[in-house]
Amino acid sequence: MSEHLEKTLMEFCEMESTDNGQPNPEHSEARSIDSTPNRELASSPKPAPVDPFDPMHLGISTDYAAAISVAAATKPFELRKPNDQEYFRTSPHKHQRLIVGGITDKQDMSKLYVVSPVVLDEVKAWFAKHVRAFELVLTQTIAGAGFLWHVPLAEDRGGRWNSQQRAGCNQGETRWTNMASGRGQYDIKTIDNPKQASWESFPPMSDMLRQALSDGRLVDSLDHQLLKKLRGEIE
Amino acid sequence: MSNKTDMNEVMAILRPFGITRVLKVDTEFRLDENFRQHVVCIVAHECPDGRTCRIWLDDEQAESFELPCDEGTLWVSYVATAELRSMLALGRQLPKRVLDLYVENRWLHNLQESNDERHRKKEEKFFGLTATLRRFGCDSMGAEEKDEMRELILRGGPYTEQQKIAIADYCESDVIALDALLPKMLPIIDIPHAIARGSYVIETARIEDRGVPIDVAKLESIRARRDELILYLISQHPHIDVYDGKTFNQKKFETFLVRNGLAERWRKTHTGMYTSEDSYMEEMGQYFPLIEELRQLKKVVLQLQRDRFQAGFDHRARCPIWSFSSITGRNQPSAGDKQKKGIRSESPYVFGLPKALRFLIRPAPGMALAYIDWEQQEFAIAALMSGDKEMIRAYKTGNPFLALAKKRGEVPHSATKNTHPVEHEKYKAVVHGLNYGRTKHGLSRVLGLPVEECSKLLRGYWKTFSTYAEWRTTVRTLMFGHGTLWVWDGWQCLLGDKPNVRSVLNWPVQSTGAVLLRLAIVLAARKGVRIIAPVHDAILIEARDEDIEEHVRLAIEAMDEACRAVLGDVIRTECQIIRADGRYFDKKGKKLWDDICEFMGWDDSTSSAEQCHPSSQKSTCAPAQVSAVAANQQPNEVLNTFHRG
Repeated sequence: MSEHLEKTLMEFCEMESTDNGQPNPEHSEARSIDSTPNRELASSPKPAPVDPFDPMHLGISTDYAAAISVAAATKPFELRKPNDQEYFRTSPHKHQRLIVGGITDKQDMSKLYVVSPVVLDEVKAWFAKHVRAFELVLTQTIAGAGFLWHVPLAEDRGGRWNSQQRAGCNQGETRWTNMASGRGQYDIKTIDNPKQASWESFPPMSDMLRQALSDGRLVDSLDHQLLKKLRGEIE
Repeated sequence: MSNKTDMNEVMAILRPFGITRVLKVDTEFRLDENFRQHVVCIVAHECPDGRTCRIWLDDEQAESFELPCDEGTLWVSYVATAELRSMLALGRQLPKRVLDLYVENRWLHNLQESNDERHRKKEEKFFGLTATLRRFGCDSMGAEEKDEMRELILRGGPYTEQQKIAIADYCESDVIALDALLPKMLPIIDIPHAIARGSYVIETARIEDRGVPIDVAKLESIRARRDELILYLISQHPHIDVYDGKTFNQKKFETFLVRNGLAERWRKTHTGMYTSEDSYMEEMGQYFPLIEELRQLKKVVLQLQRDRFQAGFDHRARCPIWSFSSITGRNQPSAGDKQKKGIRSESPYVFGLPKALRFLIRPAPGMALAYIDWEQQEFAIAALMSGDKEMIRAYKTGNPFLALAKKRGEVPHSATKNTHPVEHEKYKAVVHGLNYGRTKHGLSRVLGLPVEECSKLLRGYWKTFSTYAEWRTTVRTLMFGHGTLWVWDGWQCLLGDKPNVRSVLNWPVQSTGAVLLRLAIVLAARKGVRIIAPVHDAILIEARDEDIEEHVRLAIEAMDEACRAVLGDVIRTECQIIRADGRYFDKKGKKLWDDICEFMGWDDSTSSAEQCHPSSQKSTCAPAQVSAVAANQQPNEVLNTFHRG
């Protein structure tokens, strides 16, 4: 990862802590979750087994809930919207949300590019029409997979689609929600599923951002490919 | 022989586990008069030395041979129990390490999928060696050629020199198949767990070889008069009028259901007929004693008609247990379907017989048997796996059904099964059914209550056992979100096409039951307990009459150790000891067995077994229950002298 990106992420984190006021105590807990496979040995440490194939020494944990959390924590984060087959919950915690400026690439599946605060003013000056405000919200599916959802800020620009995404995001704070595009609007529905959404096991926002933006989705210079495309310099 | 690169790769994978030699083994055999294996020939390929060993054993001048069995040698076979039983029949030592590629093939392709798909796989012998070789891109012998050679082996000798070579070549062709298969499978299996599974396979070979002692004199008498006996048994059940002579009559069965007020509730087939499927009758039989009576009669009649069950000249019944052959990893003992006229072939499993015919299990002279089972094992596993404190508490009361009824305020705290039989049965149906995903409609059918009332019952159940409900959601999420589930010993199932959600939700509990049995058997064997049959959630052991109490103690110790390792707590056990002069007893089969005895003119006064609590089990669960049965002795006389350590 480039030094520039590291620096930019640091700036994002500063924004995060400014929003939050206090560093998040949950971060340290989240960091303690390592990426060991889900099927870790049931009780460790154990004395070295005499027989490496003794079934008594080969028991594996059947704590399924923990396995789901580990799987969710080890899966790389994506920057995307929930799809129409997913039931999701959105984090109600402020430290798991971040307001950013971004540009959607309409020529490539409406992919969102986050504009670094370092170049935001300049990019806005050039492409005022394209830069919009989004809130990146930590979202998890019912299967436990986490991702960042770029929810458009409805007050930024009008449109039913945007305001309904906002409504779906709000609904997701308390209930398992599904959002599918219908006729000119999203159809939002919720279900009664007793599964609790746990937010403690997710890594800090800076780590999630690092993963989600690692494939060139951070516009951190005026020479970024997306800007070149918008200027018509490349296809 | 496999090429050198393959062999080097195999050894490179296995050496870090302390394996320095691999022996790929196959045997050819036919069954002798005791259903043990009469070994015709053995072929083994050794790796990394590349040696081939072809041993002909079918005639009097059998070769003497020695195959390495030390801890550094890994025996590799496809359905290894066959090779291991051959060694036992020859009085040889068994290997310490076994890798059964059949079991690992099952593990690799253990899919939760639609019944149609499962049926299709069964039809095409998906787990057979030929289909497996094809799937892994290896060559295999043609099916016709295989059949021809099998016929030749089963027919028996004497063989010409040419035939001997052909049989040994045929045997070696399966070893060559192993040469090809092993390098393909080894990188994708979980080696430590696979070899640990092998230790259970070794024990099942011993169990199969030991067999279960049978009262052959009575068995033969029954077989000799089976036609008359069938008619007699049917005539003894005039209230179950479903037979035309010896034939089950569907029309009469429908009339029987109508007459007993069950027609409305009974499930129909897609052609609109009332189903007479055994699994459905078993389910309904839990709530309607008359249905259970009909089911047992039907099973006895069918068994007598088919006349497949056989015991050896040594008065022991033997059959393949087929470990790891179900999706839950439970054993799938032989149903004796592969019998061929004129050839000694598989007999059905003795615990697959109707309950009345299990009374034929009788200890050999001077020996005693003990049947030890886990009480309400599935409920206990569900409680402990999910960590639902209410469920654990309900289990510890000894009657989870009434505990639930009490919790829901339907019965007073002083209620017992005798004071509140209706509520007991109602909550039993709720608890039993929900593990299998029974809906309010299904419950309504069983209990004959309005759907709304059943819906209320279900809501009460989930509210009381809410942690368990949440755990089931996690199971569902894991299977459908991540595509896999596993149990303590690494047995797994994967998400296949259109799985049955009820099977998915029930899989961890059933599979953990299978894990407990496997582990308990391996641990008990280490303690010197002689296990002669695994039965779903129980084991049957054998010892000298004077030693049986000590062996029961050791077996229960092993069962407790298994539970502690897997679930962190023990599950109650109960035990029935069958003394040297007694016979196996089953409450549900007693009436029919008494009818059989009466018809045959036998004075076989096996009194009903009563349960007692001889001592406290040193665990969080209730005492083990022990009962004993002796033909000429009142059970309580035996019980009074028997106390567990």
